[in-house]
Amino acid sequence: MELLTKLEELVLIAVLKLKDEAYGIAIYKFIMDITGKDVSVSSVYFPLERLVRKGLLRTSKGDPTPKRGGMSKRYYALTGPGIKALRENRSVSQAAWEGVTELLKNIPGV
Amino acid sequence: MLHPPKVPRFLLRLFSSLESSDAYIGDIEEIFAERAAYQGSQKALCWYWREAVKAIPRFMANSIRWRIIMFRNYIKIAIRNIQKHKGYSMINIVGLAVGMACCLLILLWVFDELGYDRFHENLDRLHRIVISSERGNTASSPWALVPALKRDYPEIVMGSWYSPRTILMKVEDRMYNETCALVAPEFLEMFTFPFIQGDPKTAFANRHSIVLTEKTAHKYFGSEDPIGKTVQFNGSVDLTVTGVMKNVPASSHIQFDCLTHPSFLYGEDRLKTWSRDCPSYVMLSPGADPEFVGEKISGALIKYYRDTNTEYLIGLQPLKKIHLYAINGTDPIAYVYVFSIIAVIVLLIACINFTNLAMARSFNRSKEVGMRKVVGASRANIIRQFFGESFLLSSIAILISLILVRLVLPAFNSLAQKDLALNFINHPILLVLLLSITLVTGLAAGSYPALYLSSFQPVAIMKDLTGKGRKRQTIKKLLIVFQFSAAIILIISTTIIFRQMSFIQNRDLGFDREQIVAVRTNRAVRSKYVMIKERLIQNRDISNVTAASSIPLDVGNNNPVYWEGRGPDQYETINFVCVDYDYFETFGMTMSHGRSFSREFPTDTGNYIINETALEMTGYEDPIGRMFSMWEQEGEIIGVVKDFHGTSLHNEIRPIVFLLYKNLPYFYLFAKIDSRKIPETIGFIESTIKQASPDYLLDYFFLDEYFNRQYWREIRLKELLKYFTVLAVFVSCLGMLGLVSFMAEQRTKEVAIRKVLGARNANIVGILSREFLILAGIANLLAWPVSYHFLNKWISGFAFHTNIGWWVFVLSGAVALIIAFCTVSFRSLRAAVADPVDSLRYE
Repeated sequence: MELLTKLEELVLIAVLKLKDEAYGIAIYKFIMDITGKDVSVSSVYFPLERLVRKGLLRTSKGDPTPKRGGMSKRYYALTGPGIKALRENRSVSQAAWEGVTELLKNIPGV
Repeated sequence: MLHPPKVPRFLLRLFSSLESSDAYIGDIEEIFAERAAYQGSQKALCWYWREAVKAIPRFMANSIRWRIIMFRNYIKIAIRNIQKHKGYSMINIVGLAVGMACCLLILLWVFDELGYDRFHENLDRLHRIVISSERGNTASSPWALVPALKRDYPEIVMGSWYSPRTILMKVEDRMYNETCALVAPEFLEMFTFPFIQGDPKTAFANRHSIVLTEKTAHKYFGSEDPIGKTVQFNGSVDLTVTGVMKNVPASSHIQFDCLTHPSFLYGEDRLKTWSRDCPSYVMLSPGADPEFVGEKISGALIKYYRDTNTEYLIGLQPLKKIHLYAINGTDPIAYVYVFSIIAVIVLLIACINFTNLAMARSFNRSKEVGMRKVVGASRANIIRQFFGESFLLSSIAILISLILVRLVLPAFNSLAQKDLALNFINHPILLVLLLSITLVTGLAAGSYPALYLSSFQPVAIMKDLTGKGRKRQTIKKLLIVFQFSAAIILIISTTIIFRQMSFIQNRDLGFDREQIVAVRTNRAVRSKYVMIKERLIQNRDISNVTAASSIPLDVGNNNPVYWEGRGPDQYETINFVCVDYDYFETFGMTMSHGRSFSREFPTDTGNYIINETALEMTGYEDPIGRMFSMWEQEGEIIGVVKDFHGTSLHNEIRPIVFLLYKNLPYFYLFAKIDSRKIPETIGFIESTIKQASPDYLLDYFFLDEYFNRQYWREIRLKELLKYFTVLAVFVSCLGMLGLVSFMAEQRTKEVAIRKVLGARNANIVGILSREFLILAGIANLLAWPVSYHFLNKWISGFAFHTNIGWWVFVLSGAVALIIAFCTVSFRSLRAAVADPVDSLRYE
């Protein structure tokens, strides 16, 4: 299996959670909310395109609207391998985080 | 509604490396609209700009990374392709590399030729005086002219003679023959030869001074400080070294070992006369228009030099033009043109080869292109891949050509007698050229597969529905014809240049120049000449000894004369030679009228012999016994010598008068010697002269060598042309070989089927070769008129020349055809003898 970067992982989770509404802005906002950081829109698109190239996501075009300067939306959805990758990464994360909460508690002075 | 800002949008669009950049920009616009609604337009604009500033560097980094990755991929594929077709790749690369190396060498040579005398600070103000009359032009001007011009014309601020003579120098007890240039003190201010020691402004403040070059100073004084040391000039005058200059650069048209004043050789009085011995240079005042000044002084000589019937005009030749523009005959710049054209031709041949072969080869790869497209390559990918590949090939070729130039340069230098170095700092243009050639050949070679093949639908390619590309075939044929004509033109030119050169070298000059040693004499030797001659003649290996004021190949002294029927006010000027008895006999010159000088007629010392051209000038039918006068000394014409070629064959024969003038120095002693005992005889001559005059260092040369030196440019041209022709033909044939191989490979099955059906090997060779031979034939028809045009021009620059025979064209064409046929049939024979089973069994 292939390990995902944190950003890729977040993007995949966003796509999963947003279901049919998973397009650029929605994913961007999701990540902004979760991290609390003012990230650039472009920084969401790099992992998105990478994941499409890897075959973990597939895309479909939406309709152009005047609000978007006539550009159409691009919706993202998980593919089978995408779901599989998310599952695997989740179990890896869980295994890695196992017991970490306990350890973090007992460090004095931090 | 607020419109999104145009500038950041444009920038984002420009730099975006995203595949879904439309969606991305749409998203940004949407957010912008949203923000504008609840935050106000100011803040929304701010956000838009911030997004652009953040995103653009990322896009740039990203796209560069991908380009590098793709570039690596293209290189890898290109290398695989080169390895897969080693033969073609070799032919391709070697052809271009050889062509490019040729071109580079020629360009180095051309730049060197164009760069003569450019180092003088006053370059644009310096001019050489050229004197022209109806009999042609000469750079030799009278001694008194320069001072007179300076006096009378304010535009001429400085002037100097330049008389290079071989002078015997004595330092302590050592003797050297040096080329000493006799110049006016101003010479060092006019020509800015850099000094190592001493000051050019004051070096000649004292008349008894001498300036040495670094090399000469080192030879004389080793590591000692030469300034203030004494050098004995011509065995008579002591001169003090007042300056040491850097060695005269090879790119100077004047070359010397030391500089001093001419009065030590000629005496003060001679410098006030109008006799013409040496070139003179003048420097104009800053801003003076040379054309205007030239016009102004053109009639000056007639003013100073009243008693002449010949119209002498003075002209100015700019210093920067001296090396490449002749005073008479063909301008040497013609050779620069010839070579530049050759460079272009060779380069074109090589580039065409490269393009042709690459095109031919890529045709085989249409299936690969189809495959790539099926798998998902975009057209841009394929374009990039093929261009990358051809650039890689051309870059390799250029690198190899640089290595070749490095390796060949020493040999080339000795052939061209130059000191060239491949130096991109001095000639940045070469670097530009190299890069642009890499680019152009790469583009040309890659354009067919990159632009044409990539345009097809994959299905069409895979099903082979693209047709055979008739247009491409035509282009290919045109290129072959062009390439072959160029090679034929070179072959024809070389042949004709060779013919003219051997015509010159073997031409009957009207006198014998073989086995004749010319010895330069000095005053002491001249005073004992009669005794030396008597001793020399006793040697059995020396058949004749004579002497004269100049050598027969360089009769340059002009003097006013008149003759019976013309008064002293009707002067003509004529070249004269003071000769000793036996002169005509030694050189094997024949008399067309009368007799030569003889000891049996004591009055001969006041008599004259003229050549046929001079006879024509006098207009006599019966010249013998007629009165003739030079230097106010009347005498009889006792003989007429048949015309011989005095100066170079570029020039017409001039009128000459010969006289036995006892008091005039014989600057040269001539001895005809047995060619089997040259070193011994030279040794004998040396010891004999030394016996008579101990202060003499033998300075001699062979007349035939001197003769050849007059044609050094032509001789070198001939040599260089020979090599370049061979290389051009080689590169051409390489291209042919490659194309035939490719064709034969394409037609393997056809050949096999023909064989199965009973075709003989000869038939198959014929089928495969016919097209090429037809093309080579067409190339011949194109090459003939073009080369005739240029060669006719070149050859008429010689006053005496061979004719351009039609057979040269036929022969060159035939040679080219034979070479083409050999090349082509070599490969087609291989195709013909191959076992048909091998190529058919896969069907």
